[in-house]
Amino acid sequence: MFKKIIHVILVFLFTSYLIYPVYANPQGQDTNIELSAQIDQTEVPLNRVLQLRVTLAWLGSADDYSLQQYDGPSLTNFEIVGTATSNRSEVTSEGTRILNEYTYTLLPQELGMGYIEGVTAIVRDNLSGRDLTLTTERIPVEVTDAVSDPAQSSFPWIMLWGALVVFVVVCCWFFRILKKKRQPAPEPEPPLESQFLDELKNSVNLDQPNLRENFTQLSKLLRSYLTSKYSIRALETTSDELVRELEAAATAADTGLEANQISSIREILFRSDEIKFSGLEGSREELTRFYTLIEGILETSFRKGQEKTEKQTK
Amino acid sequence: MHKDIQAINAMIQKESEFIDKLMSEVGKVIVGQKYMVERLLIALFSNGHALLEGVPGLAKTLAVSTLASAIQTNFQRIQFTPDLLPADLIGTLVYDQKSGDFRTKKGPIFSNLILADEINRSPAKVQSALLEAMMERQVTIGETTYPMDDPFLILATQNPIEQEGTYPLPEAQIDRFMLKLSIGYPNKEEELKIMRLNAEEKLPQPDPVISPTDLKRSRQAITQIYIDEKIERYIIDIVFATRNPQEYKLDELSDLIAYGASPRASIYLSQASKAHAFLRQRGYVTPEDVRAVGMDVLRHRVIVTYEAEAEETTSEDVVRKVLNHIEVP
Repeated sequence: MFKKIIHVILVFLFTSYLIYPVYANPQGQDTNIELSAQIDQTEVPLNRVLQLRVTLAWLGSADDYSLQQYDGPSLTNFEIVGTATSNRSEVTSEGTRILNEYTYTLLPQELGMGYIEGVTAIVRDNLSGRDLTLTTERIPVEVTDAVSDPAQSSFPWIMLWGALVVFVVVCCWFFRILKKKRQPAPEPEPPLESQFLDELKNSVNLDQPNLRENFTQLSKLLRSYLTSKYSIRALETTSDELVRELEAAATAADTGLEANQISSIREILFRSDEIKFSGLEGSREELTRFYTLIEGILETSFRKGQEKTEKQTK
Repeated sequence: MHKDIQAINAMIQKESEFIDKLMSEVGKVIVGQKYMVERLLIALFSNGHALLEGVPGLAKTLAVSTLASAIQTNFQRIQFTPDLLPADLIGTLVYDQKSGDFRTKKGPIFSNLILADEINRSPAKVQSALLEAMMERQVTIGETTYPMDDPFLILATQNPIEQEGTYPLPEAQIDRFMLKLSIGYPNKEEELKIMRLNAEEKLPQPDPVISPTDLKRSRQAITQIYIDEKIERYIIDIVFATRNPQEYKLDELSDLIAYGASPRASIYLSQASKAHAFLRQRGYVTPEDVRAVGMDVLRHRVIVTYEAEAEETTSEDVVRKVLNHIEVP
């Protein structure tokens, strides 16, 4: 009787050993390791791609399991257009988790249903030496009508708007040119000498002269003209310094000033200084003479400028 | 007014007739250095004093002694040393054993033209005694006050190449000098003449040209020289531009000037311009006169900042910019 009971117990234990993996893991897998497959969408347009990620993950160290065989996904109505793999580990509350990921880019072939058949991998438990076969479930994906490409669809509109902007700019430019052509050309600035001749006429009235004031005005006008014409500091230098500077400039370069003109300038400046600073009053004849001399200097310079311009245009 | 001006012009031309002769007599002995001699005359005519900065051997002593001979006045040269005492300069009371009284022994400062050589070698108390005599034109020895001789001109020199063991004059003291002259080396031709002149056995002696009385009359005449309001305003503009450069569109100078010129600058600029006009035998002042003496009157009155010193900008650079910027009337 005792022997019979022992025999029953041994049979039960042997049967339990054989049956246990089947009940514990319906796919015949170790619970410590798992193989999963995920897709990023359940419907995919005909002209889009689908991402499939197959993950083999286990708790423990990387040396616990080794991949013996992996055939990749078996597909219906899809074509693999890209693959990527990555191995990584992450630390979780349960311990270190090892992850081997296989990513596939799938392109639908035609409208209708597509399937990712189960992915199968055979891994070896390096501790026990057992081989485990892991399989994922079949995943259905619906392939829908192709959708329009947003980048491609906006392209003609951008082109159209661009063309419109270019057209408007060209029109504006064209009308501006037309407008300019219709308008009379701006008058060229009058020569320097003309400006000073006008100023001379306006500032000094020879019929009713203010002798002391007018000599000062004539001196200042002449100095201003020399400053503008020859870029010398005629307003800040004394008469003596100014005449010396003019003589030096005439020797060094062709200023257009002749010796008799420099002599006239010297006479005007020195006599005006005498009248301005000595308290003496100049005579009306002197004022008229200086007026004429300055007028002469300006007119000669004006004429020379015109001749030079004519020569250049020829 | 018209006749007055003509009369002044005529009077100045008459009174200044000796200028050419004086310059020529001084020129017999002093080669070149016309600038220094003219400025000494300006100081003499304006009753001012001059500070001279230049390296040794530029005939400063000879220039002053020659000028003293030409204008028939006395000349003294005082070498300033670190152990010089105020009494050595102005004089002291000496006990006379024969009479049993103290008698006054006047110092070398009692002369007409004085060359105070290397004034910065003596301590402040000696400098102060000299500068007081310059301004007050009198010296007190014991209980008696003695007026200085007339004419009384001090030409003080500073040696710019040695700074060790010297007592630089404070700015306030320097301001008392009417002119500060900067003397340079003579040119080649002048140096050749100097060399030949000194090779002769005896240096030529200048003939006396004027007397101290003539000099006083000239001073009197100079006060009559006409200075127009436009020139006066020009002087004021120059002096004010050193104080408020921004007002005269000289913004670049505002960080370079610590202190502008004092009112003494305006006074001396006006007086020196008149004296310069006198040298040119003119009865009125022109901007040329102002510009001719402007640098000498202003260079020691404009104090530059540390920034300016760091940029190696001197007071002369600042004054030059001001003079070249202000519009002449």
